Amino acid sequence: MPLRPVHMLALAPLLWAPSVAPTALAQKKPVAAPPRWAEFQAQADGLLEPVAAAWHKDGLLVVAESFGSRLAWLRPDGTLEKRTELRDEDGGLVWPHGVECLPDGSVLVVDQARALVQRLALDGTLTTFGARVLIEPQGVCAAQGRVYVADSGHGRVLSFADDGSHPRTYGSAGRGKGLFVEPVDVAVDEAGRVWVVDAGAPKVACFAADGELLLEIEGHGPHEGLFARPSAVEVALGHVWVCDRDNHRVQCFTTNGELVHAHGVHALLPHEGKGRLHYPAGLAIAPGAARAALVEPAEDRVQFFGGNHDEPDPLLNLERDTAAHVEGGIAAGRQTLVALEPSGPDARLYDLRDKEPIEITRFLVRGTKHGGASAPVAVALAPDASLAYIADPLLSRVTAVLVERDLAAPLKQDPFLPRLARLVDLAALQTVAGIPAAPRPQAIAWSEGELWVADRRSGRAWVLDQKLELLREWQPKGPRWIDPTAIAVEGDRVWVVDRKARAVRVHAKADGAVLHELVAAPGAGGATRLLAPHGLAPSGDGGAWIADEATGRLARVDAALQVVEVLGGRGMGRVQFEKPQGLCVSQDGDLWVVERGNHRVQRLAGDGAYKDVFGARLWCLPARQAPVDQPLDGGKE
Amino acid sequence: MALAAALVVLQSVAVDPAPRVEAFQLDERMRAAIGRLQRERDPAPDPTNRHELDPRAARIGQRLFHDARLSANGSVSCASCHDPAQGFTTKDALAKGIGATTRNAPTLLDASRRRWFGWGGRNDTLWSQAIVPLLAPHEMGSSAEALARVLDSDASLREAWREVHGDEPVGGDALLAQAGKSLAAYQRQLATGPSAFDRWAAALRAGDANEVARYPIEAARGAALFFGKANCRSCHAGAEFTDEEFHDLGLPPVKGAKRDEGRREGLRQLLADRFRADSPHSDARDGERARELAHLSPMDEDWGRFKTPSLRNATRTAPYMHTGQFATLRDVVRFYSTLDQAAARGHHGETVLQPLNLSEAEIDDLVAFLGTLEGELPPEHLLRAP
Amino acid sequence: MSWRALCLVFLTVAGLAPVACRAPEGRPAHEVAPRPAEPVAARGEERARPPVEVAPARLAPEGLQSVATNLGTFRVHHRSEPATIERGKPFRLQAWITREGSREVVPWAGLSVDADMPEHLHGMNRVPKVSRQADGSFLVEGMLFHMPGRWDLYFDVHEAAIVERAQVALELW
Repeated sequence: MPLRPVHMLALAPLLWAPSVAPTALAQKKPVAAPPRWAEFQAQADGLLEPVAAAWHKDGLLVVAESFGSRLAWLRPDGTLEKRTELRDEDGGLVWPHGVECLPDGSVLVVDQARALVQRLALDGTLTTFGARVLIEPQGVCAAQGRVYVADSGHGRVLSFADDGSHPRTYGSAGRGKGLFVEPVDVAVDEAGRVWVVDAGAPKVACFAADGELLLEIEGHGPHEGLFARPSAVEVALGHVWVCDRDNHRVQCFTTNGELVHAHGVHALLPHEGKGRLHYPAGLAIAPGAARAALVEPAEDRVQFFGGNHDEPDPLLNLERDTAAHVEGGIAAGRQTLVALEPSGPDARLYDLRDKEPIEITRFLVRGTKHGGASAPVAVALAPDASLAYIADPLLSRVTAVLVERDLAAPLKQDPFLPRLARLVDLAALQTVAGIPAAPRPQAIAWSEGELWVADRRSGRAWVLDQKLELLREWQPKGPRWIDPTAIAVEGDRVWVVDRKARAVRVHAKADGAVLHELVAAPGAGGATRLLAPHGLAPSGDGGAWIADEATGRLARVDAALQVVEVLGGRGMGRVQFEKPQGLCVSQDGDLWVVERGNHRVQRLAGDGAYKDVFGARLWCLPARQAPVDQPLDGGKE
Repeated sequence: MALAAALVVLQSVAVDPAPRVEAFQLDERMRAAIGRLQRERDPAPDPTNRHELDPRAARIGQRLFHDARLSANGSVSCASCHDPAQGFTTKDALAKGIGATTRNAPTLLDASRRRWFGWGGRNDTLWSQAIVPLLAPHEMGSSAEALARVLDSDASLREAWREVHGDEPVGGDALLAQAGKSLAAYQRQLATGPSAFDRWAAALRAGDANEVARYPIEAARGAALFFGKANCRSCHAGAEFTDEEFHDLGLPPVKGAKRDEGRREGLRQLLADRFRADSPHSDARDGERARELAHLSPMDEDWGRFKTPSLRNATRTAPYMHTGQFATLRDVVRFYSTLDQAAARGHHGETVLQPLNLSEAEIDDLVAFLGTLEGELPPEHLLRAP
Repeated sequence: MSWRALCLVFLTVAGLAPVACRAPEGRPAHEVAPRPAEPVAARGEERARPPVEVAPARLAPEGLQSVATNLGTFRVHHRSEPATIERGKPFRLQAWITREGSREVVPWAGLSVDADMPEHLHGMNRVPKVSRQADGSFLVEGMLFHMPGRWDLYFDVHEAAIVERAQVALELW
């Protein structure tokens, strides 16, 4: 089916003017040794979740700050030149993601809140395109008169000619050659070949301009040439650079797919930078490839690197890592806590009989096989801690794992405890017309024998029974969910956090009507302080705790979403939170807070007083592990 | 009591100034476990090579094995890297053919007992493996045409060849397959005999206390570690002391070493190999080995996995690991003890290896145990050119 | 009767496979034709491909080892060849799926088979192949446990959108 021309205001003169015959360019010889950019030059700190960057024609780096709903214009020495607030035509907050600079000086920004691309002209004129065509767009680039958008929701890259006509697609959703699980960024080389990075597969794919698949570089793992959630791609000097986020490095390939080098030293200390990397997610190579900027959302910073052709053996840059990192969901049940580490992926189960949690077992392996996971982001636990439920948006799957145990038995590690009970393929359950792509279950809650699963794609919830049989579908009223990161059901009310809408809502369980809403408004910091709400846990008194990733605060709200109390703020101390995400309240009334930024879990009393912490990084000791059974002891002397 | 001592090894140490008696008891389960390790008398037959047991083919194989004319520059034979005088390997960390290679040469002793061939398992039969170094540019750099020229120029070899391979079409891949099968027939004869460990295990089975007592006490202590606390048997399993599969140890990176994907690359090569067990050159195209290929599928986790070598005759095959980076068995054991400098495996990975934190005495015992896995060498006439 | 059972009845009448259970996806005219993600096939999986015509019920043989799925919905009756599974030796399995408490083979169920060593965080180096046999059983080929230690052998029973696991623990030397 041909793509209808999109609504786009005269983009033609604004995009790449020169049109060079691709074949002529293809014959250009690549530079023999592409730069490693190992020479640290500068860093810019204090950004608000920077996610992508592009070099502007005036030599500044334009950085999209998603929590801040703004662009930061940085000089190459890391200092700030200016900021541009990002608003839609109605003054609403944009959730910026990909960013690209055009030769005329205007800037393209992907707005994930409304799934479209904004163009900001230098004179402040705002135009948009791609509305109602894209689902969850991520990276964007412009080349040779066309705009390319990683349309991750459709599992493809979409390109438009400079007048919005002649749409073209590269790839489609699925697993396998030429198919994408989660295409997140795109770059176009001088020969017009389209390079796409798929964080979910993971892989890098190269297409000819006409859409023919030419090459794929694929594989998950820590070794050179493999990827762990690669998140950005750039081409320059006849080479392809891939930002390999969870391996904390950048890899350079020839256009034939051969690895040239893998470079990056993993930061281990708190906020360690100056050349050390921590989850680099965005990459921007300056014209001529003289320097590169790496964007690190986890550290709220951008680092600038200069070229260096003469580097030591990259193998020697490898460092021993400590452990995986808690992120996303957390759930508590009887004497039991389960925390997730999506980058592993991993789920860890702790016993809560003592003052501190004791790790008993871990489960989930990477992959599509049963019991595997691609992106486990949410977890629910049956109140008796017999079953843990994991929601995996990339596999469109909810998995139920039996973790029932004798709560009085002596503590010991038990790798055999978790047993896969069931899983449900939500794509096969999907019966509602008009939902254009595979479900993305990403928040999950247990309530009175029912499991509520919020789907980002369809903007509604499945209600399942304990065995994952579908009971009914639940459609909320009010604004369509964009990014539901938390759901909770209490009595006749359903709480939902919609992160990229920057909103928390309370719905009536019966008919989905919005009873209360708390939403960030432009310029309104104030008492609500909700810039990027993520986690939510009912506090047991009719209200709830809400975690705000952007401000590092916890807000306690009452049943009408009025803020009663605000705790914390950013930092590494007690009752300080860096990018708090998942929240849960255990049966003793304690509040558990997952901090993505600090790789740790804090335990607070019901009144917000600090109690305990555990984590997986050098600055935060892991939870104690239960003892291991000894193997055969062999003999005696 | 279940763990009651079932066996006591007693040994007087006469040279001590103050003579003492060391006693070491293996618990019952350990004794049973070790007693169970009984080697198959002969390697399993390889139906993909119908010449495997033909002594005439073996004779041809032995000639080819020692024939440097097979290499591109006439300087290298199979025996150059698989030197019979050095346990069918060499002391070089990385094998040297007509050029430099990137891996240590594995021993050929007992090679016919293996399931996969090459560190990455790029071959599924011994005969197809034998073709690889012939053609590899840095090893022998030869070709079917060069092999045909050698045959043309050597009447006695040609006649012997005709006797075995008859009027089979000769040339190209068919000729290479014939050469590989002849070489494999020779290599099948490179079997080692019983070791001190085998005699001990047999004595444990039979309850022969005298024979049991002959086994060195430090080796017995090493065995208790090997099968117990150190859990070496987890990969070096069974009577062959290998699980015949592939693992990533996170070995310390070797400076300057070429990136080596191990099994990941090996499996890709195997699946693309034109001499694999179900190929037209195989003599059992639909046999068990051929059917097994259908169950192999490249996995990302295979990156950096290398074949678990058998520990039999390890004392003869220094240096160790696929890059030859450890000079002695003691170095190898020490690595497992500390995992010092082990490469990062990202946030996750196989979790089999944990530092064993062995004492120096325990390392000594393990090395002593490994020494008892040295079997009798094949007859002398197989250790040289015919 | 659940909606899914109704759906299956309808599709059986229509002669359609259960994968068609997903409703046709209507979409607004302005949207680009989406290509939904392929269902993810697990390793060694045979998706349910029942006969179009309803055959007389088949019974699982008596005297086999059997194990209930972890939520007790199904029972997997199985045997191996050779009868004893040994470390490092290839083996095959034959399995029949019944509902718990019944000997009748479930015609709509599919099966996939895998195995793990939970202590090591890895599984087999082989991808077993599962094929449906004329007698209603499944033949599983290509199994091999290469390491000593505890293996958990998984029988994953597929029914429509649900997969439920039965598992057997083996300690190998």
